[in-house]
Amino acid sequence: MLKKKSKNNLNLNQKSFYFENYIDSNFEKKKKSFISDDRIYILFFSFLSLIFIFSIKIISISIQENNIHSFKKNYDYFYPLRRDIVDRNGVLLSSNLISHHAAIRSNLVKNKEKFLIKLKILFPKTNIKKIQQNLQTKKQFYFKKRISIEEKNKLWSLGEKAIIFEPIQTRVYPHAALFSHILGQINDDNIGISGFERYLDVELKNKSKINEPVILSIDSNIQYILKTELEKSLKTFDAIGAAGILIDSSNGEILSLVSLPDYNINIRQNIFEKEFSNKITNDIFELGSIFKTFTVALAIENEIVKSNTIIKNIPEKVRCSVHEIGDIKKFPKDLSVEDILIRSSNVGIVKIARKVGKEKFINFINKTDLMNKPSIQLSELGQPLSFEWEKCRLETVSFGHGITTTPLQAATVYATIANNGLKIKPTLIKNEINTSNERLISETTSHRLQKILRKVVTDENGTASLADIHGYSVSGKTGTSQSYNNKKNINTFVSFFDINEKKKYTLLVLLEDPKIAKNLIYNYRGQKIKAFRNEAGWNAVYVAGKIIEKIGPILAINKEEFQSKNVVKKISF
Amino acid sequence: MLKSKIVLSVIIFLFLFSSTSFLKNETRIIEKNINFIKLNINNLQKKIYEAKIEYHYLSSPANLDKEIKLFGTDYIPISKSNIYQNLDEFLVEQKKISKIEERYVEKEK
Repeated sequence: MLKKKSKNNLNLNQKSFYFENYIDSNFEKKKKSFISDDRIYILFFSFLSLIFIFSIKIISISIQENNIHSFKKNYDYFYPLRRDIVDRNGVLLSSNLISHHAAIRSNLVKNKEKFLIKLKILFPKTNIKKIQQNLQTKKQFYFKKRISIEEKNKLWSLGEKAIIFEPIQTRVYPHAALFSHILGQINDDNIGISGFERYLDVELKNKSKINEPVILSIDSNIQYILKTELEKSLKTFDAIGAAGILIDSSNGEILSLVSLPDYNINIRQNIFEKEFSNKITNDIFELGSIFKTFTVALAIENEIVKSNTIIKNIPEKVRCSVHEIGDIKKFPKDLSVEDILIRSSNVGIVKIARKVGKEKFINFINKTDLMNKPSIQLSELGQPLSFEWEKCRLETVSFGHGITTTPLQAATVYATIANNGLKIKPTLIKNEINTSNERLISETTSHRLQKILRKVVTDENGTASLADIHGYSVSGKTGTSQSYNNKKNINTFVSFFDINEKKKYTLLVLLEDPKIAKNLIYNYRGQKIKAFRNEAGWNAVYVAGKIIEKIGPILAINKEEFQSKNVVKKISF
Repeated sequence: MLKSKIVLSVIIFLFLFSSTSFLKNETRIIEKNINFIKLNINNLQKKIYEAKIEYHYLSSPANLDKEIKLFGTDYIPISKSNIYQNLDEFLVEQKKISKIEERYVEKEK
């Protein structure tokens, strides 16, 4: 081929030759052509660019994520603006849904009178005068916010162009009032305004985790049982309020937190009444005799007394400055330390406290955090009243008077005792690491206290016999006191009970202003009797017993080992 | 030479012109399809989401309690002694039950 080419190029008749400037001659050639190479290149490049742009578009469409914070887009492509909240078993407690605000455009209403009549017929409770005023003064206004599907359909049926449905996301709580004091609420701008929603507002709106729910330590079933039993107690004892909390003593996880009266968090309303506040974390109380356990713990820890040390010559009353401290019952003059706690003797405890001394007592109270603001993932937290350790303060504080704290903090100290003296931090979030190596009391002191508190329930002189539920080794201490404001009874029972060797749960039940249940017949140590005193032992203890009886089996079932719920109950022959 | 260049340019131009418009149309169709599928997926997700809320509402302890009361019954707490504490306890008892059953079958024979 090459040979051929060379032959063709060879001109045999050529007689002379000349040198040609290659660049000049090429330039001349180029001049002669109509289309320059550059133009072709530009054209080629522009088309290539277009192809490149379209391919980029195809790729971008396939990988694009819709803007989740644009309401307009969100209406078609629903992405929650807030993370779900679920309980420890995955039960949904709080979630976002698409809802609508109904607005009216005044200029689109043709016949205003007819329009108002139609609205009045469909929504008889509507303030028509206000709408009439708005129609005249405003271009656009909200008729109703967060309307239900039924309401939307009703408005659709009017066939009015003037009614506009503005899509919004709304927070729903499928359990209504069950978790009112835990979850709290958000406002129309997706901002948490109370409870857990407020405390964890930023984390709940975290875009990178928007499809991951926040898992609480709460158990819905236990929460329901606690609430139902407390509601029953309001009726039985004609109480004005009740509260309860259940804590896993080994890690501080709160399985239930109830405060009554409660409210439906799906309904927007302003609640100003104090009785609706969270009695467990926000309200502060003088919790009375439950503090006696702390006095005894301190005395045993410092080896001032042993549980069987006899305190001799306990008088019926002791004077401290102008105050007179006495007992409601007559007790023997000589009582052991454990008997003082079992029978709940005020005078006996004062004698022990005086042996302990003010300095050690102050240090211990500071160590328990009872006087600090409680630490938990809620925004409603009460601050215990501060006081000076003046004359007689040691004596009154030793049996739980003249000192205020929240029930949560008291329950936490009891959970620490149940946790062999290792301090725990209460939490509402599941699997949050809360174990610490900080000790409140030694393991030995803790075991001794556990034994004494068990006797408070089992001993014939104990004040909490009604909570002795078979199989759970219930231990605890009663407390009867009066509220600061209205001098109404605050009856409390703090207990802990065993599920197995490893697991202990702390339960606190508080009743506000309970009365003697005249028609209630108690099964008291095998006898059928009626209550004759308005003390925690006759109401708060009774309620706690009922709760433990019902929640005990739920806690005892080992969910990790038993996947099938059919095999947990033994077959009786 | 010149003619061939013009022809080539025209061919390239026409090819690119037609391929660009073809690509543009294809892109548009794909875009529409993707959006349509996305919308369908989102509608289904919305339905699942709402069904999930409905399920959690209907199976809430309060609702179940209400339903069970309609049948005239109430929950009765199980005694702790009737609950297996762990899997070993369950397996031991299952062995005992199977032995009793075997004996019973033998006796019947």
